Amino acid sequence: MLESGAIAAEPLIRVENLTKHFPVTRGLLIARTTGQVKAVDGISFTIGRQETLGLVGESGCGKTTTSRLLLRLERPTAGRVLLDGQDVHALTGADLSKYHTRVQAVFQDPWSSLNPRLRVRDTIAEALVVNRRVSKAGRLERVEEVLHQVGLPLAAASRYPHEFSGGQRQRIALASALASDPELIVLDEPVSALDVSIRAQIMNLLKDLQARQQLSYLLVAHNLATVRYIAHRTAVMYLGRIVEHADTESLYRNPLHPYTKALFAAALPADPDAPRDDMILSGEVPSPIDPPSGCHFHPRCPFAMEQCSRVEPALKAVAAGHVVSCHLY
Amino acid sequence: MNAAAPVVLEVKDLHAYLYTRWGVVRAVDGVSFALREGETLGLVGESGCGKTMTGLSVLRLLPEPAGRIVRGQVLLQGEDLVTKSESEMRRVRGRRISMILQDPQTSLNPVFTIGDQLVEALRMLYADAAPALLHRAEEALRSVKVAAPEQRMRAYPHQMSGGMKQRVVGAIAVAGEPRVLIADEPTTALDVTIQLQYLTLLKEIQARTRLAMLFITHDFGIVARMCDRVAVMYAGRIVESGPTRALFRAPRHPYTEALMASVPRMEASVERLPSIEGQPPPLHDLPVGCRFAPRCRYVDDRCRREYPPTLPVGPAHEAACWRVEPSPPSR
Amino acid sequence: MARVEERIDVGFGSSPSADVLARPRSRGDLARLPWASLFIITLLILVAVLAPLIAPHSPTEQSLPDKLRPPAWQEGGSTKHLLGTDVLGRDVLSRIIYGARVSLIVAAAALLAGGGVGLMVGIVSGYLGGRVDSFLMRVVDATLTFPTILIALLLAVSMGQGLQTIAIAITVLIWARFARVVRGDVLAVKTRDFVALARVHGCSHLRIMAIHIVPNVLNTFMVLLTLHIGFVIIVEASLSFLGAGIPPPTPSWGQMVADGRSHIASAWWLAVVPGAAIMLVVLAFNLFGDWLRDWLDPRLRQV
Repeated sequence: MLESGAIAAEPLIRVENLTKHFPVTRGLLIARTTGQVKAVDGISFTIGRQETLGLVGESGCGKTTTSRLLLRLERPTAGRVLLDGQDVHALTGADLSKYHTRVQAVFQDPWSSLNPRLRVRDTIAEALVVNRRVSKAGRLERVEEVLHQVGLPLAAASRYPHEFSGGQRQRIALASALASDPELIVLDEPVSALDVSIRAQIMNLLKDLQARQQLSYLLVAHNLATVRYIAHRTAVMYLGRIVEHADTESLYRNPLHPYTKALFAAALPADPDAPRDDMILSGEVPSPIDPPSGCHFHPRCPFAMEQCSRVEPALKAVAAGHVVSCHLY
Repeated sequence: MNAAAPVVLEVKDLHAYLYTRWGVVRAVDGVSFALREGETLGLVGESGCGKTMTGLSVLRLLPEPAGRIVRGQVLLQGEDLVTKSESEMRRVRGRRISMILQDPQTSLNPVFTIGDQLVEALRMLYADAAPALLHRAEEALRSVKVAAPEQRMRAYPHQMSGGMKQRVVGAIAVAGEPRVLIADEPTTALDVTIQLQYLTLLKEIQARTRLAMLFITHDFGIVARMCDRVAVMYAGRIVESGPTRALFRAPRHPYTEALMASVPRMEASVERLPSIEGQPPPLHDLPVGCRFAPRCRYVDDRCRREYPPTLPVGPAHEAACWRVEPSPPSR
Repeated sequence: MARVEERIDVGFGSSPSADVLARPRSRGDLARLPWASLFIITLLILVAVLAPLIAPHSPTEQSLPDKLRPPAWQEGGSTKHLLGTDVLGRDVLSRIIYGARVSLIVAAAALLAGGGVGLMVGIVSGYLGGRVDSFLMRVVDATLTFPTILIALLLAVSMGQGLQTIAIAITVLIWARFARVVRGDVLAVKTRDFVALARVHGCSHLRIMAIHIVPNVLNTFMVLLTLHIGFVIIVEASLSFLGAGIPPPTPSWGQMVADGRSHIASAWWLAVVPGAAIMLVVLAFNLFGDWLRDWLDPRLRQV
C-alpha cells in the first residue's frame, strides 16, 4: 500500500480537475438550456494499488457522479481520469476492452443489480464473455473460482437471483465484479441497503479480498463508520467539490473543515453517554444548479467570515497528507 | 425517565400473522411492552423481524386480507384497540395515536399542495371553518420549524426536499395532539445532518406535549440518542428489553450482543469486525426452541429444544435466554 | 441515505454455508388457473387444427334443397346439420369449425408481425432515447390517431381482398400500441442497476438490448399479445362483415355474421352462432390475458 506523499510509481488512478455539468433544459419543442447542474466541480485525487479511497458526503455532493465518471457511464465536461497514465475516456477498441476488465463496480441495491432473467453464472461471466476470448470451460472454472472467493456454494451458479437474499445477492454482484480479475472496483454504497448484521460480513469480505489480491477500491458511502473501517484515505465532498482529504485516521481524529465536523457530529455514536457536541447545521443543502458563491458551504457555516462568500478557498496541505479547502487555515 | 409517569400504551402478548400462499407468516409472535407518557421506546431489529408489523398492528393497519391479529391486546389508555370496530379505529388514528413512515415521497400526495393536505388532515380533527383551518395549518408548519410557512403552504411535495417533507409529515401526525406517536424509520431516507435536525425537532415536540413515542429503527446511534428504553426484536419476538444505558453497557441477549458488536464505530478503528454468520429463520417456518440458536455462539442443546422464558436481568431489564442468571426482580 | 426496505423476507435464501436450494413450493397454485378460459382457448386451437377431421361436412359444399335448415334441437332440424344450414345449404357447424382456422391464422399472423414490429420499435426507442425516441414516438402518435377500420378498409380496397391484406392491415394498426407500452417498460428497466453494470462489463448497446432489456419486457409483451387477440379477431370479423375481409367461399366468422344479418328474423342461427363464437373466444382471451398479467406481477414480490 502506498503511503500518501511517497514518491512512487504512477498511482493506479489519477483524477485531474474532473468536472461534470448537466444542462438543465426547458421547453417542449425546442429545448433551451437555462442552467447547469454542477454535479462535480473540479476535483482531483489519486488511488494507489491495493488502496481504498473513501468518498463521503450527503445527497447532491457529487460522489455518485464521480463514481460514474470513473466507470465511463458519464463523459466529463472537463478534466481527466487516468488509469495507469492513460485517459480513460479516450480509449477505444482493444484498449477499451482491457479497461473494462480492469475496472469493475458493485452498486447499492442488491435487488436491482442482477438481471432476474439470467442465471447467476451468466451474470458473473459477462465481463469475460464480452472482453476476453475465454473458452466456455475456462469461464465456468472462473465462475466457480469467484463464487468460492465470495463464500457462495458452487450450486449457486445455476440458480436465478430471486432465490437469494440481499446479502447473498451482493456477494453475487461482487463475484461478477471479480470475474475479470480487476485492479479497481468502484463500490457505490455497497452495504447500505443490507441488514446491519450482514453488513459486517460483506465488509470483512471486501477487506479480505483486498488483502489477498491486488485490489483497489473507490468506496462511495455516506456512513462514516463504514468508511473508517475500510478506507485508507478519505475525501469529503460538498456540492461537487472536495473540501477535505486525508488519511482516514488523520481525518477522523482531527477533522478540520467545518462541514466535516458537522458531518461527524451528526453521525450518532452508538453510546448513550457519548458527549453531544451538536453542530446542528441550519438550512438545507443548496441546489447544485445555483451553488453559493465563494466557498459553497458559507451560508451554513458557523465560522463563516467575510471573504468566504467571495473567494473559493484553495486546497491547502495543513498536515502530512491532510488537505483542507477552508479560509480558516 | 420518571417511572411514575402513567402508562399510555400497553401491548400484551400480541400475535399478528400473515396468511400467504407459502404458509402462515408469524410476523408478530408474542410481543409485549409498555409505553409511558413522555417516554421513547426504541424497537430495534433487522428487516423481517416484525418491528414494522408491530407498529402497524397497534394501529390496526395490517395489510388485508392476509394480515390478522390473532391474539393479544393493545391497550391505549386502558381501551383495547384490537376489539374496536373500523369506524372506532378511524377516530383513534391521527387523533390519539399517529404514525410517521420512512419514505417522505410516498407519505404525501404529489398532486395536492401541502397546504391542502394539512388542511385536509386538520379538517378531520377540528370543526373550524376554512380560514381558521388555514391558520392552524400555518401554525402546524411553524411548530415543525418550517420557515416562511405562508409560502410553503402553496408548494407541492416535489418542490420540497426530503427533510422538509418529513417535517410536513410530522406536522400532520401531531396536528391532532396524539398521545402516542409511532415513528417507523423516519430518518432512514434523510441525509445525516438533516436527520439530526429532525430528531432534535421530535425531541422538542415530545418535551412540549408529553408525547409517548415508539421509535422503530435499526440504527443504534439513533437509539442511543433518542430512546429511554429499548426492545430488541428477532424473528417476531422481543428477545431483550431494558433501559437504554443498561442495554448498551451490558447487553444480555447473545443477539443483542452480537448485533452491537457487528456495527462499525465511527469513534474508533478496529482491525476486524465480528459478524453474525447465517440469517434469521424464515417467518413461515420457525424452528422449535430459541430462534437465534442456529447462529448463537453460546448455544447448547436446551436452547434448541425449548424456547427460553423471558427473565429479569436487572432493574426493568429482561432477556429471553437460557444463559442468563435471573436477578431478583426489582422494579 | 439508504432505503432499508422492510420486506417480509419469507426466507428463500439462507446463509452461504447452509442450503441455498431450499425453496418452499407454493400451494394452491393449480386451483388458481383460469380453467374456463384455458378450456375455450384449447378447444379453439384443437378445432382449428383438426378441422378436416372433425367437421361433419365440407364448409363450401352447397346443397340447395337443404337450405336454411334450423339447428338440430329445433323443429325442422336434423342431426345431419347440428347447427343448421345457411342460405346456400352449407353446414353451419362445419363453417364455424373452418372459420376457427381463419380467425386463428389471421390473429397469429397479425399479432406476430405487429407485435414483433412494435416490440422492436419500443425497445430501440426506449433504450436509445433522445432524438430517435422523439421521432419514433411521433410516428407512433400519428399511427394511433388513424381511425382503425377506415385504414383497414383503405388497405383492403387498394391491395385487394385476402389473408395477406388483412394481416398487413392489422399489423399496421397494432404495432403502435405495442411500441408505446413496451417503450414504457423499457424506460423502467433501463434505470435498473444491472443495465448500468452491463455497460461497466463492456457490453455493447445491442447486447444490452438483446440480453438485458428484451427478456425483462417479455412479460409485458406477452400480456399485450393475449389482450390483443380479442381485438384482432374482432377487427378481422369486422372487415369481413364489411366485405373487405376474407373473400368467399372461405368461411370466416365475420363473414357469416354479415351474411346472416338479413335473415335475423327468420334464420337467427346464421348470425347468432358465429357471433356467439366470436364473443366466447374474445372473452376467453381477455380473461386469460388479465389472469396472466396478475399472475406475472405479484410473483415478483414476496408476500
